[in-house]
Amino acid sequence: MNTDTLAPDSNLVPPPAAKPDHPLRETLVIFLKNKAAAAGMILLLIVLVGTIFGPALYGVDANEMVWIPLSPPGDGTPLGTDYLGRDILAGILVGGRVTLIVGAVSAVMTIVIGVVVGAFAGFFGGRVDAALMKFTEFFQVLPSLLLAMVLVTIFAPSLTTIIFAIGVVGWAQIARLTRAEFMRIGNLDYVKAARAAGARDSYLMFRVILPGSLPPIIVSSALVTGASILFEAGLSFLGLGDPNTLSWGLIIGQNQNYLLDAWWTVTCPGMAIFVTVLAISLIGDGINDALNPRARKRG
Amino acid sequence: MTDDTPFLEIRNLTVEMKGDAGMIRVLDDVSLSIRRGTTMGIVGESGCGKSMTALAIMRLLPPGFQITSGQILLDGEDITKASEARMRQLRGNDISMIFQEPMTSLNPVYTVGEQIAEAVRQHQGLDTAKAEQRAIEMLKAVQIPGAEARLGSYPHEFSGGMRQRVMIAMALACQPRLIVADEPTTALDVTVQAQIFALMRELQEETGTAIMLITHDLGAVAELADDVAVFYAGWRIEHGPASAILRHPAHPYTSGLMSCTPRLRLGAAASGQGPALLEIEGMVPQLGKMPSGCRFAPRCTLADAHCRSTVPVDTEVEPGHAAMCWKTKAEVLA
Repeated sequence: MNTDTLAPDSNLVPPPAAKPDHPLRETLVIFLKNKAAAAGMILLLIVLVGTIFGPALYGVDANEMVWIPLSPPGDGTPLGTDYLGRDILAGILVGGRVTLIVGAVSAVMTIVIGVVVGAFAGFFGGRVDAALMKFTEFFQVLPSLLLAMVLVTIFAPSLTTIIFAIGVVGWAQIARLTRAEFMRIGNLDYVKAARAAGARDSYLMFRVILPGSLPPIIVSSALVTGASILFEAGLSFLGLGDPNTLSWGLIIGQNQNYLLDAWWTVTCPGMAIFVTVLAISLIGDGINDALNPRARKRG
Repeated sequence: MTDDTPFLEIRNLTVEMKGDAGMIRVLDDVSLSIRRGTTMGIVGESGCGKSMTALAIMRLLPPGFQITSGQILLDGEDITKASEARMRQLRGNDISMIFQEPMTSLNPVYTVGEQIAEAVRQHQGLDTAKAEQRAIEMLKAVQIPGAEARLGSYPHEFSGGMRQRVMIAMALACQPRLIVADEPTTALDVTVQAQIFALMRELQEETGTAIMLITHDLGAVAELADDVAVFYAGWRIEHGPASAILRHPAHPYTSGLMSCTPRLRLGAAASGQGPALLEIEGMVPQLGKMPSGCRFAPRCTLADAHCRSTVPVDTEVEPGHAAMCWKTKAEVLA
């Protein structure tokens, strides 16, 4: 019999355990160890640096005719020129700003609407829930691109309208997710305890329940951001973007007639969209794996 | 700091639940009172209405349940008629609740310091620094070692017993006049139970708060309670001073409960045949399917035709000790 492991006071004096990490720090470590997520971070960083500092460093005006129209990459300009002789690289660098801002702002709008609607539905339940969910379903059954096109067409196409349109069509999923999380967490003991301690509804909703339901919301926020960027590109491609602000979708849309003659005019901004959305998706997956211990085991 | 005027008085409280076939009575004409600075033990099997009584006092009955008649007087104020805003003021400030599951009753995303301080800040309007100071005091009061350092710890860094101490600290932070403890030690092991009870008694002596202790553990009642109310199937079937009830229960259900409690016998008593551990045959009747006479009659060894047909009345067996039973005077029960 091994007496060492059965020292008489071994269970009376617990070993001085190291202070456990803050749960968020643990999550962060797992996230940073994930190679795909790290690659996504690096790609997104390149895109951000490129769009923020690129135009100034490259120094070519994206709206100026600088070379022979439709000349291929390497022949005078690094990524070629479009049908008006504008530098594609300059266009990508400048257009990224609009694309990213529209993507980010409309994602924020989508998330805010979704979380608020879902929070009220999940927290109050009953008739409030039924009414809000019917309202949500209404937005879910409409084809979102069509609805966004209608909205942009009714109001003049401008950045604000586009952001508004993307925000309005995409929130239903987030609302459903938030509602489910609120219903689950609303029944947990700590919420009952907070209620018994005299917390008011607004406090319960946004300070007690919301923090606990954030992980899945954060993950889908990443996906929503990617989707918003694609949406903006889609609208611009269909000619419903703001014609006065250069974005990746707009470059593709304006050059679509030359697709077969000058592939670079469409492919290069397309690649920029692809890389950005890919980077955001990789980051979203990484966050999901880090926050969800069950998914973590698989990898 | 004991005072004979009741701080909490429940008068003929009836709680009903919406069922498929009309309203179902969950609590039927329950009356009880708790004096200042004393502990009332509420005893009974699961599903007897103990927790419903607690939730009715907090006015936090689950959806579908409602108080249909009776009064709950908190220091003279009928809280069955209080507005929701008034209830929010009372909850946490005048009445606190300690829950059964310390492992899940603390919010995992905030430190214990934040959680205690938040309660104080909301109810007493203290600023952040003062609230934090109060949180430290409370953690010290519940004997958590290294209170200052533990303030920034998250609930998952505490053991079950420590978390229940934190819950008690939160419940006491605003110096409530009534604490409703719903099986506060059921989830804890026995040594920790004893510590928690000692702590609750000590804090009660200091603060003079009244405690309503809901439990199915008669040992806990013997340890803490001044008075006892025994619940069965939505009825309060026996009530009186704890010493009287534990020594000579007047209701067959109570004596049945007591013979279900195992006793550890040591020394000379350990040799020889001890009394057999008994059980009460049968189950608590289902809600909405109550027998017509005494609700305990189907399980009662003393029941006769009269018991099965007529609802018993509350009969006083000695001053302050009454039982709802036809047999209580006729038979020697304990």
